[in-house]
Amino acid sequence: MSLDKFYYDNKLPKFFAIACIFWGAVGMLLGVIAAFQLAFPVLNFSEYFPHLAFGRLRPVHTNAVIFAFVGNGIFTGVYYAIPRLLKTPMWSKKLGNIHFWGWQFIIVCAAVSLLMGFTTGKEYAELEWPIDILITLIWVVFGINMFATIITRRERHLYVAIWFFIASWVTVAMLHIVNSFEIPVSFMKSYSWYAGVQDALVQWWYGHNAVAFFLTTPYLGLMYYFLPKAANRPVYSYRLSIVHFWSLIFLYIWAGPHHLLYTALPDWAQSLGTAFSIMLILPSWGGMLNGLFTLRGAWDKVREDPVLKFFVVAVTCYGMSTFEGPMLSLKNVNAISHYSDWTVAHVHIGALGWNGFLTFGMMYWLIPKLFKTKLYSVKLAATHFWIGTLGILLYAIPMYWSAFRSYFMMKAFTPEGQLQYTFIDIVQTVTPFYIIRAVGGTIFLIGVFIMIYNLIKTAKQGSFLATEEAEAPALEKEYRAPSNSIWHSFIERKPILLLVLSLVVVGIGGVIELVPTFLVKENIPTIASVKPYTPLELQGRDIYIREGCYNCHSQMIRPFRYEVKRYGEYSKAGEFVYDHPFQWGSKRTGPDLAREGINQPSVAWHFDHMMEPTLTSPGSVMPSYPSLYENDIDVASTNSKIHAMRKMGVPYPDGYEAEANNDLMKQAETIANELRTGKKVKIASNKEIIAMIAYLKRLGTDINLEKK
Amino acid sequence: MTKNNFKKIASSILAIASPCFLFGADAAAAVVAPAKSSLDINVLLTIVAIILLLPLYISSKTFLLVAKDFANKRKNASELMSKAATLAMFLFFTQGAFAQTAEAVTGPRSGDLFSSATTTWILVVGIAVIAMLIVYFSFLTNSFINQKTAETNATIAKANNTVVESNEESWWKTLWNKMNSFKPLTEEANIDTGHSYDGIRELDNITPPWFIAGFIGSIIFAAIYLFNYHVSKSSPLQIEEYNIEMAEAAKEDIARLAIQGNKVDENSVTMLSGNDIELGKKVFAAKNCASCHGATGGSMPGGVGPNLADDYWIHGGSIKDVFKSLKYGWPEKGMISWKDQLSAKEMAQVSSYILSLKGSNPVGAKEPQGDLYKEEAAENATDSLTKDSTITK
Repeated sequence: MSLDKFYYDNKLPKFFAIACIFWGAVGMLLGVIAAFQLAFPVLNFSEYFPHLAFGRLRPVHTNAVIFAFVGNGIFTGVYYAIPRLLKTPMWSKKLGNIHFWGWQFIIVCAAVSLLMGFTTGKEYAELEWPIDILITLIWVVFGINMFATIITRRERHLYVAIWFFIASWVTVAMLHIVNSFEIPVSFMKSYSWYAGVQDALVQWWYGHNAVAFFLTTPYLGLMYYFLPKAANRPVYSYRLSIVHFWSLIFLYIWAGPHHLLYTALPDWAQSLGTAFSIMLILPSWGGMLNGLFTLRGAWDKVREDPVLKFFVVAVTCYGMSTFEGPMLSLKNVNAISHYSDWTVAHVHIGALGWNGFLTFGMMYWLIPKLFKTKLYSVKLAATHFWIGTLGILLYAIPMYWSAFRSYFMMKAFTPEGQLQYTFIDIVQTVTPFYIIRAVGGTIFLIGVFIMIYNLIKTAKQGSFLATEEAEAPALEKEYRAPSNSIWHSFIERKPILLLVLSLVVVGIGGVIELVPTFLVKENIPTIASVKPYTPLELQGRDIYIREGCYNCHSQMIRPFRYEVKRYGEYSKAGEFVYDHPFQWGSKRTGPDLAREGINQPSVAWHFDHMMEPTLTSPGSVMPSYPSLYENDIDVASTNSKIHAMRKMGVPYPDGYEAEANNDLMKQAETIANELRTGKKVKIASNKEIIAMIAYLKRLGTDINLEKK
Repeated sequence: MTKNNFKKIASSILAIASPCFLFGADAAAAVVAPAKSSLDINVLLTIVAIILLLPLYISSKTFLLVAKDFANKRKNASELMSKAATLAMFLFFTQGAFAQTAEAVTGPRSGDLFSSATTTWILVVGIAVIAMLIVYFSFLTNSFINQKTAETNATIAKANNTVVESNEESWWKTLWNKMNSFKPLTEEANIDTGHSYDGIRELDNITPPWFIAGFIGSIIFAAIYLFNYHVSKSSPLQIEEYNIEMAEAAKEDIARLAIQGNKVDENSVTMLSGNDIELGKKVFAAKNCASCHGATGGSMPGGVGPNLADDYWIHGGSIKDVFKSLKYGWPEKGMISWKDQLSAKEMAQVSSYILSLKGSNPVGAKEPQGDLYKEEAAENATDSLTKDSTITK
């Protein structure tokens, strides 16, 4: 048997590693800034940079951490591990380069466009349609390169890490394409194809599984490679790998609706979300167990080796948040956690602990290997470990605390049956917790900078190993199974079969939840009085989306006494049928706005409030929006916006596109006049604030018409 | 694991984890009695800081002891001792500083929100510093012990030429092994699958029995959950649940009204005086009426709401009219309805407070709006409660 000689490329893993760390630091820095903005609204610098207000910054933070930091982390591991696990170099260096530079280009486009206010208004899928297309193309390039490498392998069977990479690739592709169905209005502006309840379901089917198949399964793949490597121990159980891989990807996809408990989503879908989340606990833990048990006999190394320390905490955090997640899916727990800081704490245990620490561990192991040297300072790495752990604790604990406090304040009634606290009371109570959280985040970030210093020093003391020579025999034409192989090994040597099976397995849950919500009419009972938005309101809504108001304000009143008392009649599915995209939100830093039109109908109040929120609501932490008083409404886009809406079935009369701007001007003039006479202010009727006020005054009022 | 190892891990875990337990305990306390003002955060933070001083003290002392012990056996003792002394000095200063901060917080307070926020800041930074010091000391101690253990082990190994492993196993370890059906590490070769991916081997351990049991259990739970809500329908779905909650609240309302006789409405409300006016003033401030009507009630030029301190009224100036405006609001003009946020009694108190402002002539008030209202005339008018009750000039 002759041995083939070939060379592993270390250049791309190095590039991806640098990008990962760089974007990680940037993303976390933005997170720290956003965290301080919540406590000190002056940091929004609204008068100078409307682009940096919390509503625009937060999506940049989340996108940067998920797709830039973790994304590049995944690719670092994939480009390093896959060739070695398959005994072949990556199939195409050219595709690899396109993938690398394409992905970085997407990240830059994403950051710039989000700060400029180009957003679809759907969390973690905010990027506008041209970038969505670019993502799809680059993802396909990545897929081709990965699969071609797999096809040309010299190792018959695929290792568990590669199962996870394959399943992640195909599922992310499916999620991205389905959730990004949107109708372009112009370059960099589109409307979601789905509306209201359906949009919410698709969005959280996507959002939840972005966590699953972008933040979790690829990182499990990384864990399965780097943890046994670093510990130099065999993987604990091959059988456990099989059981938890298939059960995890099958069950995960169903759990999306647990983000919409107690909303206007049909009950059956909510219950499915809860039931499948509970079943998800053990399959998730399978990964943790296999990771921790692999360290059997190596725990003495854990005490000395910072790489293993990071891995142990990462895997533990993974176990903690995958237990917490299902608990949060229980209705009564979700009633407390939804819209609160609890969710924020939960995702950060996952992001800082699992993704962050696993990435750090991987880097501390990988960079010395790439530079043929030892880690510059084990001591500094250990310091980073402790600082990072402290950062996570200081981040998470205040958030849990504030979640419980705000919950008890929200639902407190006086003996006279009135709400005891106003929303502002609650905001002021939790603000100090926001400060502690921001300090925790800062501490975590300091740890990252220590790591960067350590890794740079490591790289400097070594010399970069651009290619590594390896040799292995080519695959034989005929295959004879070893005596101890089990049925699953058949799938392991058929990558395309594995791909197709994964897609089928993740497809089932999606189809069963999505299709009935679209086809069965009873799921969204229509309300006759709900009418499409007027052109001015539609323009106002787009400004609302552009400024990212949904990052702090929900538009979904849950059927609880204390919510109905505070915000008005609970929201009905039929109220959202013209909402492309839905704006239910996921976090209430500010009050719910679903019935703002009823709760605060005064144009004068809104006029003052958007100019300086503390004027009408002392103690508010909302940024001010002076730019809305200067910018003109983009009337040129009205025609195409109405046209796009009509195409999606919003019942504007035929040919309404031509008249829309007349109606818009008329309504704007009415509002401007009211301000001129009531408030004695000079305001032109074509300013954005007028459209914004029109939209806010409309919110939730349709259902009132029906009652009269 | 040797006893020594266990001890040092336990001590470092304790040192690191103690802040979390303390935080946790405070969080629990906060759950039991949610406090209203944001001031109590400072008190809580002070408690946390003070309690944190204990692990800090312990960890620093431990460190000093270990360092001393270590230094005694080394030549460069002086250097180490000076390092330790500097740290001890630092510690002393932080403790002093903390005592001062604590005093500042527990001492007389201005009640000014700014000073409270500043104190919060100082405390937060202080706690962060303490926590980092604890981590630092624990880390140093740990590294000293590690060095020492390594040296000792080396000596032992030299002497015996073998690594000593304790055969004694604690009961929980035995249980843990049983629960997972762990095979001894020495039998690992028997369960090797023979796989080797880039040198990564895979063992053929069985899936832990409790894992399988838990998985089956969760599937049964899920089935029961779905059956319960959607087949047997024995638990209420969200709208039913809401209706039950509202029905209970309505019952409570009725019971409360029966006891308190809190049945003031726009027909029976009368002008209150004395303490009620003070209470009304508090509600006026708490509900932020000032955002539209000004802190003085006189609004301001260009203000959202009308001047409440003059003799002119848009919707009538009798106590009954004002009460009605409060209760139902004038939504189209921006005055919201307060009946869901204030009790009838509170609305009566605020109405009385508003009418008590008459003649106060606040500075910078808004120009009069509506019609001049004369009290005598209104008192004669018995039908001032009809919908458009306004005014006789």
